[in-house]
Amino acid sequence: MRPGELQMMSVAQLVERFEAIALAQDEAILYDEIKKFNRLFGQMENVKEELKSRVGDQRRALMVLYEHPNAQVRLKAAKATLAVAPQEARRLIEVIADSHEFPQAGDAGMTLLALDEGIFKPT
Amino acid sequence: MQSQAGRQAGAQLRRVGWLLHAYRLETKLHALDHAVKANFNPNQPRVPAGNADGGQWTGGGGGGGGASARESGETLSGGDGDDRPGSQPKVPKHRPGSARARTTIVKQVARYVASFAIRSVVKRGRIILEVLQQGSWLEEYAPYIRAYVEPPKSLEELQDAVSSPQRGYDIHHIVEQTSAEQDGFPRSLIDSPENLVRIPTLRHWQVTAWSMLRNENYGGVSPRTYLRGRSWEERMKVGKDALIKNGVLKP
Repeated sequence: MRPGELQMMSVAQLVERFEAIALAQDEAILYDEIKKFNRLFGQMENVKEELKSRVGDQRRALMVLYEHPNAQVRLKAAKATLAVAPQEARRLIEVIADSHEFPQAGDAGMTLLALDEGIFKPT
Repeated sequence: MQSQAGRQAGAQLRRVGWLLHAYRLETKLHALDHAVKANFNPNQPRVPAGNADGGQWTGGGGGGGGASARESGETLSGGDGDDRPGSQPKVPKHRPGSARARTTIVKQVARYVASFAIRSVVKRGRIILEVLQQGSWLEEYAPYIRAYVEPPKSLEELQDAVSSPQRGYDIHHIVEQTSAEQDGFPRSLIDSPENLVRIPTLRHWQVTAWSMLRNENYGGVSPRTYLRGRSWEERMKVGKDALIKNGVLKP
């Protein structure tokens, strides 16, 4: 994606972009493509930053992905909205941690620990 | 070299093993179904997640409150398809030529079966057979799938098992060996019995991959990078936590 392209997108398009990256991450995990996942992680961070910079902090728009059938999409949406919808986001992370949908369940459990121990401070 | 008859006999034996495993689960399912129909109470408390029986109903009587996050809409009888957490992976009838393709399918199958651990103690045996029927080549990977869906074990059990290598399992360093060595920890500590556990191979891959992926939890770097320069105790804590949250170690 070229520099400045995200700024041209609507909030709905940014949410779509977020979803597409999360799905690609899920595939990268399945195929053990660590480098690819880490590249995608950076791309997702850019989308989150762009949503955050919009008037009123538009990261709440990602909550539409809470019901997504893919666990990676749900988990990433929950993590990305912890700062703007802490209760709803945490509850979703708890559900994923309990879900036995691995590997996302494992990361969700570690996220709860990191939050409780103050290692992860969503901003 | 094993003869064709020998290979066929081996395949038959593995199949019998699977059928026995499925039978035991099916028996359990009938008992559970019966108990549920006799006295079902949706508010009955459940064993917390992370335990071997996580999510299942406890023996305690009714009791209000204590509703878990998953409680709404979950039924023990499971249903045959609509409530499945993920779609059944497509297993090719013939053995894929590349190891990568086979590994991917085995991982998908193992995760699919494991995802039934709660709502479906009930139909697990049937599910395994269903999947196996799609591609008999999968039977060669049965030990990996069976190990993956095992309930968590105590630390002592995992450590004791190190001396008994078994197909479907790997020896895992709780504190990751390469970065620990790079940070100057002695090999005697890295390879000490306290740091070694035998865990299912597919869980081993899962935990190892997780440690290398960038993560919001650790300021956007991987757990492996986050732990560089930190104490042995901190590494050990994260290592154990990861095993617990990935369904390997009992909390």
